Amino acid sequence: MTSEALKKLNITAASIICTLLLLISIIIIKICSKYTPQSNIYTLDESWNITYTSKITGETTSCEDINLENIKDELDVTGFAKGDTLTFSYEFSRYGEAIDFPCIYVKFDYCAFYVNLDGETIYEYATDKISTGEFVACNYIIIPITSNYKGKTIEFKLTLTENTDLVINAPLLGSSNEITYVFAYKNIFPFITGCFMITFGTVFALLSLVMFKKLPGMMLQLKTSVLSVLIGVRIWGYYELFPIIIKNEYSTTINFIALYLFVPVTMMIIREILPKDEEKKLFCTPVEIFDFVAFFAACILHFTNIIHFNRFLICFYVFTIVNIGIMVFYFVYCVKQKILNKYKMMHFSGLMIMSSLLIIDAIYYITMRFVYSTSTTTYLFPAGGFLYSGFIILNYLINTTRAYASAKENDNLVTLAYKDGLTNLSNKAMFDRILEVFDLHDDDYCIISIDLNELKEINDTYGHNAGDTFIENFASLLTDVFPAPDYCCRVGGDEFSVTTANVNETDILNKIEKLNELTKALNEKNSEYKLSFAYGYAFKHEFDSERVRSSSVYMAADSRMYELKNLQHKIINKRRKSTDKN
Amino acid sequence: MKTFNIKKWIIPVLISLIVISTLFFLGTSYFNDDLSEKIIVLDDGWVISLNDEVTSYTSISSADIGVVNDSDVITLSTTLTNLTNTTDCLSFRTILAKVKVYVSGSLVYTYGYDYDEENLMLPKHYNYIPLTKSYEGKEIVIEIEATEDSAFNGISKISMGNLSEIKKNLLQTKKIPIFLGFFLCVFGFTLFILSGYVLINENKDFTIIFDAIISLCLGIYILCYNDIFQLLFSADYISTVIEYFSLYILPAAFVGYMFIAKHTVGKKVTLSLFTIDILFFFTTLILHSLKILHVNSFVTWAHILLLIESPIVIGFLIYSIFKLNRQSSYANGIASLKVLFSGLVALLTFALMDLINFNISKYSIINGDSNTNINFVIIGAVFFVTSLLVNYFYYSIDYLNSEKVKTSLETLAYNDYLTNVANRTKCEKTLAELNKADSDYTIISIDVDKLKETNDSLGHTAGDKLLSDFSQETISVFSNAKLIGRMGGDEFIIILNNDDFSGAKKQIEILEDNLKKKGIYISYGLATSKEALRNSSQVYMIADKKMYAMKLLHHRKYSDQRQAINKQQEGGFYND
Repeated sequence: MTSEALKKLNITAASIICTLLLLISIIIIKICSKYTPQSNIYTLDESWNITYTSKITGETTSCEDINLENIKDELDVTGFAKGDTLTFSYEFSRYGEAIDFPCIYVKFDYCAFYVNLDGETIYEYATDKISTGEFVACNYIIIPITSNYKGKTIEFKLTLTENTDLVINAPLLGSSNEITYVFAYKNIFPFITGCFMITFGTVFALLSLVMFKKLPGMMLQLKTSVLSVLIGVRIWGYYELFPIIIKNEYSTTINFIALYLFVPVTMMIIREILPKDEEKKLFCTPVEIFDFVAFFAACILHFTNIIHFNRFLICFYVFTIVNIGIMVFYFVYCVKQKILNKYKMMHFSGLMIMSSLLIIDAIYYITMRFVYSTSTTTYLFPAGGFLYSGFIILNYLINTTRAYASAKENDNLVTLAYKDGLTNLSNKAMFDRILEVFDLHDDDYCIISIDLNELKEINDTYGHNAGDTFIENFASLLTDVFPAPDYCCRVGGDEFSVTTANVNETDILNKIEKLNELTKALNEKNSEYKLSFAYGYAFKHEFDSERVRSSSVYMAADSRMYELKNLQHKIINKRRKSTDKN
Repeated sequence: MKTFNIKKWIIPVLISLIVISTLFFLGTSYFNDDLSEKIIVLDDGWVISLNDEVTSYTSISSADIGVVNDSDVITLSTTLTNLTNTTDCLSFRTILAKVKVYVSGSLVYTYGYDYDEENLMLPKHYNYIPLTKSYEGKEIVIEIEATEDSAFNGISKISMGNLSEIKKNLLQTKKIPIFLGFFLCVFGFTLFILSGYVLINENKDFTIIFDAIISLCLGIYILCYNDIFQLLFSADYISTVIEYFSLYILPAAFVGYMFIAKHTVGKKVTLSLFTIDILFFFTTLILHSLKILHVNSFVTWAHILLLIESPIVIGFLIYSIFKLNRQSSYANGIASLKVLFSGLVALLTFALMDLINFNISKYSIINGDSNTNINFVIIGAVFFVTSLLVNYFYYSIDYLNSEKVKTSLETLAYNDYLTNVANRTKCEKTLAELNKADSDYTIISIDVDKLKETNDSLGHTAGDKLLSDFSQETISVFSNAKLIGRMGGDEFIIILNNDDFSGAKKQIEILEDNLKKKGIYISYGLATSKEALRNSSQVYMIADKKMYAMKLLHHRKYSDQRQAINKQQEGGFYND
């Protein structure tokens, strides 16, 4: 009892230390990532002249010298419609110091635009998409301007490509070098986390697929790794990091796909966590189908340019809340029924927390519509993602180390009773139990009895060690040919038997043939003595009576084996005689 | 009839899909911006001079200026043409060198003179020289002065264009190092943190720490070598320093792993090599921090160490794999160790190839290290991290399999085959456990009436069916029970997790009614833990006594009934 208590204490201590280390390293990264730009960066939020033309009414309103914060009040509108045009102009009168690589750093959501400096067009963004109706991504864009910009007027001619509230972030003026460094330092944590989760998910998914046959519960691993990739992509999308390594135009679409797939994939994982027999009761399949149909419908509408992804956002949040409701229902159900073990419970809770972060996302999105700046960044989502994948790795590492412990325990407790010490096959006691179990069911089965030839002679001539290696070698061949769920048992010194539920006679003959070949191959390796065996097999269905005892089936197999053995003896004796004669 | 097996098809398809899409995303330029026309590489038309002697070369990529040593000055000059509206930058990379740039004779850019004054090592640096359109047609002179011996060989390419586009172009070609490097770093870091947990709780396996260090250093090295920190965070000095140190600690990490890991050979050799490597690492660390010698001056030594040690370690690893192969393949964790060792062999082999390649290109072929890439190490790192993950997978498989074996063995050991409830051993174990625990419970003892009669009159099969019918019904009624077990031929026991006597009574009456409908009659007795101060065997005794009392009552009833029947029959006989 005390050692148990000590172990528990150890676990708590270790968890606390791990969490502390993690927190300390995050803080260190935060401190190290403070960056002071070497030249000034100005926020251009005041003194803008704006002209607004509504496409529906055709009316034009304009106002002068306003703060971008008050744009909607000044223009007296609540939102903008697709096709509306807006012109923002600003005269560089206040700032004019010489900066290396001067640029304007700007972001207009879902807008195609021209940028003019003193009437000369210096930049175009997505203007070819106005007529085609294609999706326009929202990204920060660096617009280089000449170094003698003082006194000049910059003008943005925007055409809206979606019905939107148009959240305008104040443009920045500064050195493009410094602005990108400031951006990179600000987003160092999400950048690294996203990178890790995408790579981790991909590698893990690949390995899960490669090892699909060997590991039970591989489906769960696969789906978890897909989720890991999605979280990584979402983190990158959320902090607008994709433009660092890929074309601007893909980033927003990728971000939306990751966001919209999050809930369906989470539901898929939860289905995998729930016990198989509860699935039908809980309507897992219909929920899953509904989720994916909704996602693919959104995709089709988006890529055919009928309704773009951004318009589904409200739908998505409603949909998320419904799904989280279903999750909570599942969770309460599982808690009440006590059908989940500790690990699955932890996994489930982790998923619930991750999904709840989406609700925070929703609240953030809604408040964004009223708040002017986007400077309030939350670290919740990347932190959650990081912890989630940390949990997966932790699970694996603990499994790794437990593998030793658990194997030892089995060896000590149960295996001793039912295992043959030399060959690690099941022993006679186990074989008897298997026969007992067979008698309880009506299912068909096959028993193969195998006897090694000339073991006695080998023991006599080469010593017991040789005999033992002989038996060991044969036992490993036997388990290779008849892997679990078949049982290979060593029932006597040189007697083996195999029980199998496979009752296809040709299959069994093939396997015996394979065993024969392997034995021959083994014989070629060591020249001193030759391994050979006799066998006999019997099926339950050979016997008429319904309630035939398994022992009689075994007896039949055994007597067939002896028949064969006698035959082999005769042949060997004949050969010997003929060689003697020669 | 063979059914179409969808799983067989879907897995290879999915695997190839993931591999192809990953390669497509990382390896092709489909997702990159097309900047080839916007960024001009200024290769030809230069006047190149070394230490004030004009060489005959005009093209940067083919200029063979040899290895550049301390205080050597390379001067490049050309006339700027083709400046467009968006051109604002001239960019090139320097290694361990100071830079001055003149346009029309006036100094417009300097780099590294402040480092040199403080006797600091000059980092690898991307020089961005601001240009304006007014420079069109003017002469530009670039002076690169090396600050260390054998600082670099060859001149890196000089490109002209828009700064943000130049940086983007550089980063977009470095997707693989970015993803792999950061992944290895975070993975190593996570392993490092988790290794503490594993060490405290499970077994003392120090290999996890070495896995963590190798992964972390490899990640850092890949990131630094590919200038990711320079490009993203402008962290030139730190990046260059940790690049060297991560390289210097890698030999120690490998050899240390070899020493710590189980099933490896050559422990004495690895221990001495480990001591040498650790000493080397700390010497460089101390000498660098005291500003006596810069960290870069040990590169040759590190390379020599790696060149000597890698073949030895590779040899040991291959021999270990060979030895493992000869062992029984059924031992726990052998397969996974083989995978991990092979991964290490791959990594070391690729690192060795890279090392040789790097030194050949630096010291012999024209225009060397300023433009070499470490592709081999990246491939090796992929192998290593995959083998590490496969290793963990294998362990998980082992663990899950052993769990499965355990449960199946437990069912064999603790289950009653006929009735599918716990057997006597399990019951006795549970009763003993009850005494240890601090909670209340109720024990019900049940006896199936007339089993012997059934066996005698209708045969064993009927008796067996009676018992399995009984146990099925019991399991369905007592779904809340802690244990349902068979103590003997017709004796059963139920243990409930509470001491609610009346609730238990109700349940057993339901069972009795249900069984009556099937023609099975039982006797039973209940006792709660309160009745015998939580001594489970005494509680069971009490329940048993109550059961016997009931059985006796039933017996009398049966014999009365039988007598009555007999009388009736006799009467009928007489009536007939």
